Amino acid sequence: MAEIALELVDIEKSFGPLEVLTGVSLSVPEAGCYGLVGDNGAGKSTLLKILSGVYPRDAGEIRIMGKPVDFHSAIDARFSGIEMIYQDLALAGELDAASNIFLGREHYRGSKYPPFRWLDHKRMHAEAAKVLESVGSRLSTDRQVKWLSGGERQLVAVARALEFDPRILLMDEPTAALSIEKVNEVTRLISRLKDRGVSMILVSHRFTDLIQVADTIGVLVHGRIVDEFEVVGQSTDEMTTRIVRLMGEADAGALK
Amino acid sequence: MSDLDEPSASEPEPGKEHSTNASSWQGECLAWLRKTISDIGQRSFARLRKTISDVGPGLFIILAVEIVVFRFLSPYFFTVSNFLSIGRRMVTTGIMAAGETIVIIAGGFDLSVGSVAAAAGTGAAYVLENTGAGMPGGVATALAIGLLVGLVNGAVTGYGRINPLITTLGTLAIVRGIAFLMTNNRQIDVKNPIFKQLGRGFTRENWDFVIYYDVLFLIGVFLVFGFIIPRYRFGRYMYAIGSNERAASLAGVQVNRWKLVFFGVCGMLAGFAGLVNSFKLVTAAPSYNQGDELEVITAVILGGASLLGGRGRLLGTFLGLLFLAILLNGLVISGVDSFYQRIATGSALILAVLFDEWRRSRISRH
Repeated sequence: MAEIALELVDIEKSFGPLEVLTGVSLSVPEAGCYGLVGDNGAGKSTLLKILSGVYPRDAGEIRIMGKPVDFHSAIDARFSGIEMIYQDLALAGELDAASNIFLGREHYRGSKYPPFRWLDHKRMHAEAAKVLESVGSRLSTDRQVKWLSGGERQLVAVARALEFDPRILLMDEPTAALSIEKVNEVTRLISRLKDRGVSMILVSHRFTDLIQVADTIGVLVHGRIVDEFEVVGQSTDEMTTRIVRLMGEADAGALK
Repeated sequence: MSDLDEPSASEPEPGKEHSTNASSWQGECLAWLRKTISDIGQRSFARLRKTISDVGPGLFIILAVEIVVFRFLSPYFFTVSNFLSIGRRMVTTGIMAAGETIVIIAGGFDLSVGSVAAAAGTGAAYVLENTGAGMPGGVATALAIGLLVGLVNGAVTGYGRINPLITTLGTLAIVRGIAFLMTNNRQIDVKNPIFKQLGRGFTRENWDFVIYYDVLFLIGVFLVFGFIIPRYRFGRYMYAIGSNERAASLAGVQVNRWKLVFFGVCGMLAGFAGLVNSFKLVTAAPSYNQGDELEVITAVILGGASLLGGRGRLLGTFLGLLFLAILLNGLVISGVDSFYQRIATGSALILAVLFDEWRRSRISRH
């Protein structure tokens, strides 16, 4: 069994009287892919924000490679090795792919300090091409991101995250930018990321996409993981009925 | 504007090919120099092509059409002295427009540039006439007034999260009001000889034209920022923040701090424009430069910058300025009533945006 990259123990979070997370525990092995399924309002985005350092947690523990960590900002999370890819991908459309990948941590040449140091366009384009290739893309790095397709944009966002050399990659609705037929692009991407030893948490309400790409599925209902199972050895129908039944019960519970 | 480097000038001269001795240090130096120059030449040629395609060929075409039309409408149009006066006409609004381009690309907007120019010009004149600070004091005053207003604009729009249109509409009125208050609506004539000299130009005996210092200032401003924008974070973040502020912020860019920089630079350039304007007039008054912001913003938009941010080029702004200056000059010397000038400026603005939208919708459909 591979080492545990990320472990959450009884994470709780409430906003005033509203209890959003009531004790979430999960663990992701190294190079594993955890799919978190949940309806709107189940607490998916709150959990992601806690993991990416945007919100502080009320209780519980986050462990990375066995060590407890504490974040106070998105920068802290990044330093601990967690990168987040947002649903809208958070790219600057008017900049080219290389500029987006290196936004905020540009390479320079010349002297060590301004004003005698200049942006090293050549190096940034070369490295951008390299990291794009590692996720299986031959995209030209000087194309403006606004002209790229949804899938290409997603690759740029992933390449951008990989440049930080993360241990854990969080992806919010990774298949939302793609058409249904292109889900296999994501599958291919995820196996490449696994080869690099990156662990992933994919969060989506589209569980039919998730069960095609994840190793483990967790079903989040009302701030708690109510079911967790390995994808291997189960048929799609089996899993679908299992998830739908859980989510349906949740809805029925909410109506009471 | 550094994109305008003449590419042909940098090609190695074939005649000198064999004059170097590779073993001597002079030979190595020469070879290095030649390689460097040819590298720069090739790169700037590629950049020039990219710049032209970014700005769009439309602006070049209407500029050429405009020149041909006025060439036939007036015999005085196509003369050296007329082009010099067109150049001088561009100076004040041109320096302001360089700053406005930066702010608009960064997703902001600055209406206060005209007021800032007037306040900075009068401030400089006041210091020159009433204190012993001399020229350095005058220049510092103008730039400091511009920088201060710019920083206020940047802080209110950034940290205060107020729409830049509202912010700068406010400072437009406030700064103008303060300038009137401080001077009691008096005009200040400047007697400082250096100041007066800078408003003129220089010529030689065998020249039949004058090189004006203020035109050199205008070109200097565009060259300096044309150099900075592609080489420093300043330019990179300007486009990034204008294109997607949240993405820039998530990438660790200190968005609000950079807004201070962009608005600060814009304010400082507006202050400098006011100073240069009072060089030219040898006088300054708080009532100057009213309505300049209209012309400045028209030039920037004509130049292809987007009010949504993220898009625009200094070269485009320069061509937009040139288009407007030629239009207004051509109307005057063709004997068209001066009331039509404002109508022409406004129409040019709307037509430019319409054309731009049409071109973009055609591109995005492919």
